[in-house]
Amino acid sequence: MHLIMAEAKYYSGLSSEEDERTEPNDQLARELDNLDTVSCATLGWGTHLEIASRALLFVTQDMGIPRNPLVKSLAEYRRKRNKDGNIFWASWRFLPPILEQSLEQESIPENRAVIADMLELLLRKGLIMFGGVEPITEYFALPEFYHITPTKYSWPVIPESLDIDYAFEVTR
Amino acid sequence: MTETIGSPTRALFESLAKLYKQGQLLLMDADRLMGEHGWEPTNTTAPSGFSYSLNTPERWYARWAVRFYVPIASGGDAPSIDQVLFVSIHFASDLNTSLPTDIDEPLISAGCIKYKKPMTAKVANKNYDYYMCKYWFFGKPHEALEGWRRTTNSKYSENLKGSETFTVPLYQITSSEKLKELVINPLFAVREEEEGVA
Repeated sequence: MHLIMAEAKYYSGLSSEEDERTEPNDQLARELDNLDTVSCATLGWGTHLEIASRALLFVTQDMGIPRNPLVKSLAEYRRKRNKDGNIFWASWRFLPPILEQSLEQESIPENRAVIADMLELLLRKGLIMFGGVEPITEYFALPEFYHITPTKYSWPVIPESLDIDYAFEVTR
Repeated sequence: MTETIGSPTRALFESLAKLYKQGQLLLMDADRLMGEHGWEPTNTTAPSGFSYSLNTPERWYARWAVRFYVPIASGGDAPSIDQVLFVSIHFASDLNTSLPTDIDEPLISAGCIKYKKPMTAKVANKNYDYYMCKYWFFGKPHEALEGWRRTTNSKYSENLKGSETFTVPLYQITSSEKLKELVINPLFAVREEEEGVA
């Protein structure tokens, strides 16, 4: 049995950082810790199974590997547990072409529906890689909007209450 | 070719949104490619220079977007940053500002801001600003680098030695490979040459 724990993010960062307590507190370090302690029995899978490998998969919307949070998480885990953790990274943006390929090969309608829905969501969210710039080809001509035709303006009549009868006093 | 349905005004704004979206993806890809060379973006922002004033509608939309980069792991206390690299997109002319630009077809401008003395990341953060991505428009032809321009010194920063910048038409960046070939590689070719000479 290979155990994979997935931590998926959209725009937000990690929910917790390293602190002074003895156990890991950075979100990914904490999850590495959790991953290390679970067994088939605690997961309710029966005791006859054995976990051969454990890995944490971190999914984000970045185009490149988010090095800083991974370095921090792995460093805290190493410092507090005295061993190295395994974190694999993937981006939501890698998925659309994979899903497109899967759609071409998948024949079961239920599976196709899920794949198509996922693909549509990713495209709607703009979670794609950079595929080059396409020039704008339309011309958007705005008419000149300065009109010299006089418009009739009107201002409100000053109410009597504001009509002050000034008295000026000249001093030398 | 983009099919548009709806009024011309809707087409105008949808085209603008698509242009910005392509700009976002390009700059994210630039982040990735710069990361491969060991440089990381200094922050999460890209466009700047907006105005909320009723008096300046020409600054109600993004005319440019820029990413600044420093070497990865340069955030310690030791002063190690003597250059800040940048990749910027200039979508439209910047009018009625102290550093006006004149753009017809959009451009990518990239380059490096050089400093006299190395700085810590904290000090470096105060020694560059978004307007520096416009230096190419005010630079003089570079004597050593064909097609590049340079500026020297600055009355705003004593430590600023100058800038070396170049441009590429945005519409030539038809793929990620082109971004690497025409923008990222020239940036690092110059750096490697300088390091070789030094």
